[in-house]
Amino acid sequence: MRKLFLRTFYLIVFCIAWFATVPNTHAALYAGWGALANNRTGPDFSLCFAGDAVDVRADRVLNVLDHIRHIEWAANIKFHPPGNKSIRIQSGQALDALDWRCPHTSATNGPLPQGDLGDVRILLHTAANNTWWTTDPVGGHDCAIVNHGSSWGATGNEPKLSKWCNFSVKLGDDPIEDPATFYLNHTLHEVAHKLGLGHEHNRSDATCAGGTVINGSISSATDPSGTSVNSQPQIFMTAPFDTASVTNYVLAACGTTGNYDFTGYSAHDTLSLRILYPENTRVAEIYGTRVIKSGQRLVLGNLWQYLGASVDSSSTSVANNFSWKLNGAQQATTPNLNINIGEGTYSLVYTYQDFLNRSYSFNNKVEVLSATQFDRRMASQAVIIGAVY
Amino acid sequence: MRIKYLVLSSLVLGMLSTSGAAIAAQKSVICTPKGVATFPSRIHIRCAQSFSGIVFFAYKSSDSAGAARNMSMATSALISGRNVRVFYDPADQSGSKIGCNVKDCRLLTGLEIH
Repeated sequence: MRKLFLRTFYLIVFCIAWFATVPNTHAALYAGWGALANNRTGPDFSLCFAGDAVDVRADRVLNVLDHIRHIEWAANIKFHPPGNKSIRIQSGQALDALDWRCPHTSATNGPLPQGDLGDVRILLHTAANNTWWTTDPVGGHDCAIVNHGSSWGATGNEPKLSKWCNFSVKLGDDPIEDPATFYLNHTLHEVAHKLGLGHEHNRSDATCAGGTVINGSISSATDPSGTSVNSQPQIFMTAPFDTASVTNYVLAACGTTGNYDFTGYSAHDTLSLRILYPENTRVAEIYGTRVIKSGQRLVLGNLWQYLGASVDSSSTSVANNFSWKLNGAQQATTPNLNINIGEGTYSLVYTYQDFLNRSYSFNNKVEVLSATQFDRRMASQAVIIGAVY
Repeated sequence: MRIKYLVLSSLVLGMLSTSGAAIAAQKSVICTPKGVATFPSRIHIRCAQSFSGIVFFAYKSSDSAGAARNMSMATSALISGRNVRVFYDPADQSGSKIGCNVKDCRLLTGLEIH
């Protein structure tokens, strides 16, 4: 009986999730419609709540802002209300929901409003917001976003989304059974779409979900003027299929709880966001040991790859154009380095570009010590550690 | 040597697991140490890279044994050219009391040499 109940529950949850989320949010982890990060350096992005949610649902607004902190912990993103960078979610000051109201998107006595109207415009349900909530397509000048029945997040900067769309994320109050505990992952899932991530379970290697999107595939959409516009390649940012991602649905066949849970971004979600929204000083990240004994091979690698990112020599790699230089001489053009070198101290420069052509570099040194020097170095290390244990 | 690292890491992780209940939003990152410093109120590790703007990971000097342990782990990683995994709570901004600025610093709760 319990099994039957659970199956029925999962089936209902799956159906709700299936119909609740916009189906044209394309797949693979990077959805290919660009991201807010395109041609923008972080960390400043604006976020706001459309309609009157800040007036009549302040608690829910603050609850969503609390969830949004997880995005700021994952990547170089610091949200502020449109046009006001002095207010931050993690300033240490108490937040006031009224500060996070979205500016109007409609023309008043002439031209359309310009300036910052909100990179992420979230619609919560209220009585006054009900018309926007239910009207398809989303209102606003040149906005062609289909307004599906329940929650969705428009993908990146897709062509259907204009600056004047009334909202770009529609966030329901799930689970409806318990309004006091709205799913953390639900917020992270929908906003992740706006940040450029698609549904992980749509990857072609997500066989448990029947995923069909091939790594590197191009999709297309029609913009408001009727022109078909191709996306950038949709790419699998991490490998393999990440069942812990918040961008999954609740899929019993895959064992995923996805958007309906409180787990927060998975390690691979975090890595993907960190790659999409890099730090302002972009450091090429490595793993391995830079102090070795003479005769040992120098083995250094790409940290993104080590952490699970799709880094290789293929066209869908999230990084490319690798260069490893020691004392100015190039040693390798592959993600990783594995060489023999003689004793000495070498300047190390490791560089690469990400798939959005942003450059990264790491400058440090490599030391190849004689056996005596190495043992002495390690002994000093043992002394340091031994002194405190 | 690796066994020693494992033992040390286990000790740190053991301490973490016993105090984990109080940690609200535990997170870890892999940091390439660029410097280690000691101040009257804290010790800190400076990473070569930043993590959502966080470059420094600090520990209070008032817990002298804990500060010494973290200092030695970080120094060990620095002189042996290795990375460290830093465990911390990004939501905890209480480090400002010991000079760990909210903008670029968080309190570390554990270290593991990589």
